Amino acid sequence: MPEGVDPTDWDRFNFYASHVRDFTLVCKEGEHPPLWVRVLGDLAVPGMPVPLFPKLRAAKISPVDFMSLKTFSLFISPSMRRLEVDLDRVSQEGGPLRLPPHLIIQATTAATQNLQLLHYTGPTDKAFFPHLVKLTSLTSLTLYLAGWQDAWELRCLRGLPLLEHVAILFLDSVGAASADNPMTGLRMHSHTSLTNLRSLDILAKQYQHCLVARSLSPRSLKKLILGFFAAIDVMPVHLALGLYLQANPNLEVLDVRFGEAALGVSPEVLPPESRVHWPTVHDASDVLSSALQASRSIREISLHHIPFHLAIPTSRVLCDAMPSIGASLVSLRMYVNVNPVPNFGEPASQSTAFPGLSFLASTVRLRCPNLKRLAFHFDANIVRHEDLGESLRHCEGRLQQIATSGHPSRDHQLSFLEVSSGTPTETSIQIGLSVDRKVKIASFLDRLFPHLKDVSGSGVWGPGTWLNINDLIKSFQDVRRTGSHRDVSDTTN
Amino acid sequence: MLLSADILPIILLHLRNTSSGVSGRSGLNADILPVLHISKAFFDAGASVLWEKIDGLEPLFSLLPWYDVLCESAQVRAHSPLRNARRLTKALH
Repeated sequence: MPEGVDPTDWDRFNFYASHVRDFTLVCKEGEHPPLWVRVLGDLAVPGMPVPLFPKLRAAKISPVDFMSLKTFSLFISPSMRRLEVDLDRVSQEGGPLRLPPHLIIQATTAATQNLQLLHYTGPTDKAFFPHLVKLTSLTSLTLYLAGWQDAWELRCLRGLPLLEHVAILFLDSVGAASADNPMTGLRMHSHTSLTNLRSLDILAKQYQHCLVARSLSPRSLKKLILGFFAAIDVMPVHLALGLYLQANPNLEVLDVRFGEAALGVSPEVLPPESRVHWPTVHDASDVLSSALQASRSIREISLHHIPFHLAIPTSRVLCDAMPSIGASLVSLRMYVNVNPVPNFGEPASQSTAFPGLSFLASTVRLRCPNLKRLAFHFDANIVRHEDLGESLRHCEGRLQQIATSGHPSRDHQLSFLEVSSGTPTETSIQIGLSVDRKVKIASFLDRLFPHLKDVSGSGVWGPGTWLNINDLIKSFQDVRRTGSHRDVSDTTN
Repeated sequence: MLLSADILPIILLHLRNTSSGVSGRSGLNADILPVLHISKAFFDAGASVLWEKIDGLEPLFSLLPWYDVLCESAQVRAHSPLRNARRLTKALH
């Protein structure tokens, strides 16, 4: 520009820039911001405002890889409350990073004191967490972390006193516990920070979960979401769940998701020399069992796509805990993945680890009065042959005893029931039920749960099996309704 | 008593949300632009709605008289980011 830049050129810019509250600079995969944008901060343009938007509240910049630090700093305003940055593309290509991760955080901490929400995607370096912990106003933190990290570094996050929500996704392994930080203690670290943390969402591999649990050691969680990549061992899964439940007795929602081992994520295997630093599977399951039984505030438990061999011991733990936690439980859903786990060998035939439908009478009807939604894995062979009449008589007898002792129980409010069955060796089998058996099951369910809205089945059950049972239950409900209407009209006549 | 400065932002936000709903696109500001010409009060309120949320730097930088020079100078690629910055700085002086 031959005439040069006049600082007054920025007047119109500044007028409109002062109205900007929400700024987004997002490039599609493979695209880069224009060159002038990438080097904007390094241009010695007279009069250019820093920051560009003085009243900015929220910014989303993806990717920041191609920017200089000065350019990135242009977008960070003292008034900023929300920041979303993405630094993952260059690192995935294996090239050198132009902008070290900690400098992004350092530039942010230098410019704003009131950031409440940070969403960061990318790798970390040694100075990343020490700088991050300076953002003491953060209430919500989401980290999608690439590259190797030491999970123990996460303990820095305990220095963020206002955190209410944390979500962390690990894209790589963090390594097993060392002698300096063994996992055999079966306890969270005792500290009094993170007192506002109510919601935690972690996606990681099986052993990583335990290390993250121990590093953060939260104690006031209401909601916990755990995603396991390629989980194959019972011990780390039960240990991670047990540690969280043990330290958070007021937890209300537990949501656990399992990713397929075959989706390109290699399972985490514990090196033999590290085993001494970890508890046995029995100890881990004991921690989970006792912690779950003490979780008297829990309302929702969901286990999605849990591998069959993990579902067996987990089902036992759940069934054992239900009498203790049943009073608060509103929803219990366990969806089992019966596909064989690659390279895991043939699973032992332990189908009897799962209950029959009598469980609904002995435990759900009697001990879980507020349960409205149940999806559970049942043993198909028991379902086919068990004596449901005897279970029902025992249950109704017990209810009568409770009623005569001055505590009459109201109708059970279970509305949705999903019955899944099957084992990895039965994936191509279909089990049908005789009409007589379907009527017995429908009658049993209708007597226990008169307000059922939908009953469905999956797994080994032949097509239409549970649809028929659901239709029978509806017809029982219709008959009951018609009968009660007739009773009313009889009395009015 | 409510002033224009209190009421107009509410009206304009409603206008933007209504037009976004009809078109199925969020952040559509086409219906706001004619309103800016009504009066200074409408202009002030409309500018806040119009510029509240922006995607990219182009909308604002295109207000600068030398924006074209900035873009044209950046067309020539160089390997060094620092060299790019120097070249662009030189072009703007």
